[in-house]
Amino acid sequence: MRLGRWRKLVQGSGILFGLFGATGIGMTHIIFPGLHCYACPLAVTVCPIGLIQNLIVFGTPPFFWLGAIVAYGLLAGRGFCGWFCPFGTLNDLLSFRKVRIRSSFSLSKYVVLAATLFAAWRFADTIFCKLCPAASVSASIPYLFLGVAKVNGPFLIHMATLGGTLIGMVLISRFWCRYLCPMGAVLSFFNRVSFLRLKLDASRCAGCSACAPSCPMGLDPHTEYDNHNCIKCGACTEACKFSALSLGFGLPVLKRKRDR
Amino acid sequence: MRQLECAMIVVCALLVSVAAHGQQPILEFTLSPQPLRLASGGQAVLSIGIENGSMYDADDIEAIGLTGEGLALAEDVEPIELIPPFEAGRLDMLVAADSGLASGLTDASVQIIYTYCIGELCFQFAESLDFEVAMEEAVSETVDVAPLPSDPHPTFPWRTVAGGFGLALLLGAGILRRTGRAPGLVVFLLLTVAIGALTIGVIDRQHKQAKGIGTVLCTSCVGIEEARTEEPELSSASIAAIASIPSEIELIVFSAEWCHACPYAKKLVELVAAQSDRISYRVSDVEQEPELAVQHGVAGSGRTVVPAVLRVDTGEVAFGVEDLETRLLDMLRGNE
Repeated sequence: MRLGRWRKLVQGSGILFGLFGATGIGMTHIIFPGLHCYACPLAVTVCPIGLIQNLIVFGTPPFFWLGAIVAYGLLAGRGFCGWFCPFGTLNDLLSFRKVRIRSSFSLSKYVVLAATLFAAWRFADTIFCKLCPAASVSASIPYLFLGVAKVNGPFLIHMATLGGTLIGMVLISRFWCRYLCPMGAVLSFFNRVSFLRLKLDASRCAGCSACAPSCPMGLDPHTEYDNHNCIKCGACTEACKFSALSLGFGLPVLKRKRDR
Repeated sequence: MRQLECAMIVVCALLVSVAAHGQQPILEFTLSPQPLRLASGGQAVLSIGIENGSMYDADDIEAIGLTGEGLALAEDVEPIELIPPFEAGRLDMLVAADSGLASGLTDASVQIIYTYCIGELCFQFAESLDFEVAMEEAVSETVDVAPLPSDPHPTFPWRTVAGGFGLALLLGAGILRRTGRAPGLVVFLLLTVAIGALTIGVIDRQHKQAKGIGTVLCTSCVGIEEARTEEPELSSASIAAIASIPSEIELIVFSAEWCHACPYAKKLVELVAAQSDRISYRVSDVEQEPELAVQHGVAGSGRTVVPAVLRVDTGEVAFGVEDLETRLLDMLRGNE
């Protein structure tokens, strides 16, 4: 089976995992390896960004959170964005324009992450959750139909952030993942050291950049195969006619900048 | 490499800063005189100097008790309503000794409680401040008295462990910088961090805390509605409507300690119940009594939404605080 089909299957399992509460098992201790609101009526996992905000508010040293995040990061880094996160999958569904934009703009997601943590500390509240478009999809809208939420100010704010993000996704593929996702920012710290990695066989690479138009993150994979923005979706491996790029598990290969 | 180092430094900074800025007592106490000199049957003033070194207000600082053989408070201590950030205050208490006061030095302690709020979230701390009392004729030397720190996690040295983790990561980052290529070491370091942090987290029951955070949803926390902080008021029409309710009604307010929207719901129900002898209510903390929420259908799929007001006889539930007065009235009139 082609890699793309495997990915769709795994993405589907990510959505099923996010909605596993339909089985009636209820909330578990598991931290979700992506952005998925624990307020979702069918969620069985805890959103890592929601959790860290709560831990900051409570003043709890986040050991359990840290352990889970490092474990996820070590396993796949941003591979979870490309293969598992339900909100990432929604980004994929709307990825019509795989445009390449100045990569320094993607640093904005670190600003979002820092602002999320600072706001939780400063205001003792989960401010990001009130704006999160993933929560709009998985909590606000379902709770409206369940009669718990109403069309009020906070609901409209959620809809506005969701609407803005959807427009962004249509205009720029993986818009949320590229520029705004705080969980993507957290996982990107581990992107170069994760077991799941994109590999380049330089002897096969013709340097033709045929892989670049396939990248939903707007990277040039044959030169940026270990970029912090790479979501390891594998689209570039299928686009390369010379099989120079491949996706697989292995020990990280670390290089100093001057070695590249 | 640079990215990995950044990751480690960020994680280190996170750990150290959380360790440093976690939920901690914000007041420093100094007791004088040390020791307190007392004659059997006599009285003396113990002064407690209080410094607020934080950026938050400290409210309702109160001495709630004194322990020590043969010792008692001679009169009630006037509480301090507020110590603003970076200011100081003083509590003076008149300590009386009865004939049971032993000769020599006697260990004693005074219990203090106070509150501080970050936004709408308030924490209450209890401090036990140790001091010594010397019978007048037995005073020989001055003894330093230090207040006991009130650690929210007294059984585990969090700050030391977090600082240790941070230093280990910095050391690891330094080694990696030297060695250049060291995938095995990277994996070893990160695995150590992951396993160590998960283990400590589980020992401290943080996995249960995570589950609890996901299980109980406060309506204002995830943007379902805005928390209301004003004092609830009933209109005269509502008061008349409540007073005319003919049947006995029991309400349960489901809340959580940290829920921003819950205080309004509790106060409103209290106000409603005050208008009629036929309406009774109780407050249930869903974290203390999770089964009650499940029993009454306030929880589904292991999820509880707070605040929620339940009318016990009909099973009707009103979630949240938006327009709660009207919804509560509709609920109360339900069986008319």
